[in-house]
Amino acid sequence: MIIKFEWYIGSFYRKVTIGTLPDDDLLEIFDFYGCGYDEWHTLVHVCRRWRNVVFASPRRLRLQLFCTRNRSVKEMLDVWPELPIIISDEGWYDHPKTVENVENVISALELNDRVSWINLRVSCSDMERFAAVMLDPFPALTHLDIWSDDEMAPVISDSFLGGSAPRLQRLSLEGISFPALPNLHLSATDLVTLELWKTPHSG
Amino acid sequence: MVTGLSALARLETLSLGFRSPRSRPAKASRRPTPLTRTVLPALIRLDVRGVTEYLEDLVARIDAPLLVKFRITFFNQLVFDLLQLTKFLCRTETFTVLNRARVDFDEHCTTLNFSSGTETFNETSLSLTISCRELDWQLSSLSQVCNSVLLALSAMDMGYLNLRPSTSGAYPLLIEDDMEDTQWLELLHTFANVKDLHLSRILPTRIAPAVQELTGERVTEVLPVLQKHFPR
Repeated sequence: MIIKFEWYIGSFYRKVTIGTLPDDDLLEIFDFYGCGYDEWHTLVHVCRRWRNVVFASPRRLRLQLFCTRNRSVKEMLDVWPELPIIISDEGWYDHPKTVENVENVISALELNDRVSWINLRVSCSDMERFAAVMLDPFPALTHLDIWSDDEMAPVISDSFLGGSAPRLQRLSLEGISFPALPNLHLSATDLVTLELWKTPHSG
Repeated sequence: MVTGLSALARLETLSLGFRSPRSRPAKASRRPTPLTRTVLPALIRLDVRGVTEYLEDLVARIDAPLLVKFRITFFNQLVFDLLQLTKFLCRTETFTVLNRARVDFDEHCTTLNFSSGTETFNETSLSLTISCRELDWQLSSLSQVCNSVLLALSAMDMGYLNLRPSTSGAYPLLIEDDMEDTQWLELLHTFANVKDLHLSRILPTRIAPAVQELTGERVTEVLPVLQKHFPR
């Protein structure tokens, strides 16, 4: 019975090397493998063909540049193609920011037409600097999480994001004052999640 | 705030919380209840943390026909005036079929969970937490909140009630000798339709005697349809 089963399998499947798979199959495998965050870096370093397959389908593979406070954004931009940008403090919340860290975040925020995701823990002084480069619209922004533990809540000004966020799906503010938020709602018609926690008395 | 929400037709989750109980709307700024409400057609989850005045102002101004999870956390306060919450629960379908209640006592708060017979309490539809350390304050607040909420849910039999310490195990068994039995009875009295009453043995000692001393007419007065009583 076992021998028959092996023969049955053997008649339908033959051994192939991964190099003989067509591009579409490779793409299917990469998609299944998952290319979130930095996983795609490994794939594009394997060989030129894989690099071409990956960069030919950035939307399907959801390729993004993952900018953290300790990565030189300028170096990343020199190396990688124009991809949507994630700016995240995740994993670094408990570490004090250096001047260089803040500069890295600001460099990424200045690419307002490519930033899709922002997740930052801020102090009042950080927020002032970040907000200064967030006065123009962020047309690709889908997720915005900003939170603060400061006793004095950082304030977001009326002109934040140019007063509009047409693709925003998630907005989460914790310990942040944003009195003009109701105006932003008017343009945020894609919003699915709205979280406003530890809102100070000032609103 | 609510005016801006009217544009959010896809909004599924709304969470609003304030930093401290000092955040409350000024009396002068509180507007009368509007004639028309803002409909949030996709909202399925609503979390609110604050004083009752903010909650009341919010729920008076919205309709959320698809809402299935509503979690409220109150700061401690003396008076819980929840007329608008009662009306909101009455006009939201999910909350008209709730018939099971569980009260969890904790070191820092007490939580009132409601679910329907088809759900476990892990999927509680309505949860009201009162942030308060002292047990007598917890009971007083609970009675007020229950009076309002159960008024909204009175169309259904709130047939099941479980009083227990929270599963966090943080409850220090606050046995307060100066507490009156009447505080427990006042709370039970708000659950007049209860048929199954479950009491944890490790709750403060006052409640078990308070219930067991109820005999004859007194039982009928406080819990007129009680069928089963399970001390655990």
